[in-house]
Amino acid sequence: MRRGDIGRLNELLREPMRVFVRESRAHIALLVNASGQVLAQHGFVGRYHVMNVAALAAAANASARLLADLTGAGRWHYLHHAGRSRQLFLAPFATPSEELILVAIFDESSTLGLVELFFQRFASEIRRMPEFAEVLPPVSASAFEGELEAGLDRIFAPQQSGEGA
Amino acid sequence: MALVSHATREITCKIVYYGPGRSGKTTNLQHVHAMTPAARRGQMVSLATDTDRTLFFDFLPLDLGSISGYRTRLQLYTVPGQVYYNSTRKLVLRGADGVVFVADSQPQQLEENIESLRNLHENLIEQGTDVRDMPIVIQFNKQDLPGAMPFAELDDILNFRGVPSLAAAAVSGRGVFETLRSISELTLRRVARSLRRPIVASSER
Amino acid sequence: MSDVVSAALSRLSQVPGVRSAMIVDAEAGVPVASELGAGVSGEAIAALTASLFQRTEQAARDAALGRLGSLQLETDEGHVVVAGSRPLIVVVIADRDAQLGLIRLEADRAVEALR
Repeated sequence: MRRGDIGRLNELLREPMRVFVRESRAHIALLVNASGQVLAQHGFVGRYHVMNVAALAAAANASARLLADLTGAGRWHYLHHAGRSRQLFLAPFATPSEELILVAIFDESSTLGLVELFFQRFASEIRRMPEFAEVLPPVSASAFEGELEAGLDRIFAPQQSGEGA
Repeated sequence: MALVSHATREITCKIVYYGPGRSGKTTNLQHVHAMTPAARRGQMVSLATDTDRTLFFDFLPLDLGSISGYRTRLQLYTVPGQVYYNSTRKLVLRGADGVVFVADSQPQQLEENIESLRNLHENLIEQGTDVRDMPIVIQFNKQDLPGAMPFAELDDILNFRGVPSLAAAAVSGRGVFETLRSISELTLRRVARSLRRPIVASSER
Repeated sequence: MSDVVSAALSRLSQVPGVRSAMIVDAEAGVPVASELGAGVSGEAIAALTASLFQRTEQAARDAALGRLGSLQLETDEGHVVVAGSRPLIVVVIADRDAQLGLIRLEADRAVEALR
């Protein structure tokens, strides 16, 4: 749990997220850190929905990473679930300050290759941002939960109509 | 749900350690892991955040040895305590055969305890479990801390169902094995009832 | 990689003027097999050509023109030919002065072989 500057980050991430969604044709996208704190979102309706997906995505990433360690598989590039009509793409990427995870849901108007291609470009762009360039100071564990929920409050504040439909 | 194989004469039960954030659930498992002979336990798995808070679960498999001719195994899990992680908490709670509710005895955590207990009941109901049928043991942890609420008072407030309750200071190990033993007995007795076989829980650990 | 696929790829790469040749999974937009020239990103090309092919296929259907056979792009530096053999497509990148007719022939041949 890292970020107290969620509101500002959310603003800065708005455009890269928008570009990712437009180019990859994903219809839902979520950017979280390894603890599940939401940094940016696109396409979600309510904060509780985002919360669930964020927590589960962080858990899935942690499990996948441990599986890779236990089986000697090295690092995964991404997790991909192909459903009947929708697919899920989940990819971790490192920035100097912390590990982030991008989750995207897409349907037949896109492909895994396309989503992965624009994910790579998105990740490169985020890595270059000064906000993700510095190693973060250690976090107070007691502030942990407050920051998890406060982040969502900032993203879903009433005055920000944002991209959530 | 307990896995019982009559063919191979094995029973496996899932015990979930539940409770508010930082109440000592992971500490309980860490102590069990540290104090159990290697032959009787598997590797402990912890999926945690960078501040060492459980992100998904901790997992520790234990071998209790033979009970009434059945090789008895326990799978201990903890859940993340924070409200935020309710989705993952629900996943871990699925198929639980017994629950240890680890309460934080500090007075400032009383509301968290109550909320977590309510959340436990809510999640059990949601997954179709009759709460009255679920073996539950309450552990009042952090009894060693100055200002910790007395056992009797906590029991009065939180233990409205009158389930077995114990005092503990998991960080030093106090009460950890007693709690585990208590939930094992309750859980195995229930499994035995459903099998209609007597299972005598021994003191083997 | 199957013999059919590697044979098809080999033939394509050997046509004079061809810089890169790929067989792409059109559904996933990922490369199945490739012989790439220097500095060419196979994954990016696979994703983008699959997407382009899919969209053009849709346009051909919507225009009641039937099934899409192939797509040809002309750029400053050369040509890109994309031919369909669902679920796979064949992608060829060639120099400006390459013999397009020959490339088209070999691409169609590859499509037939992969069917």
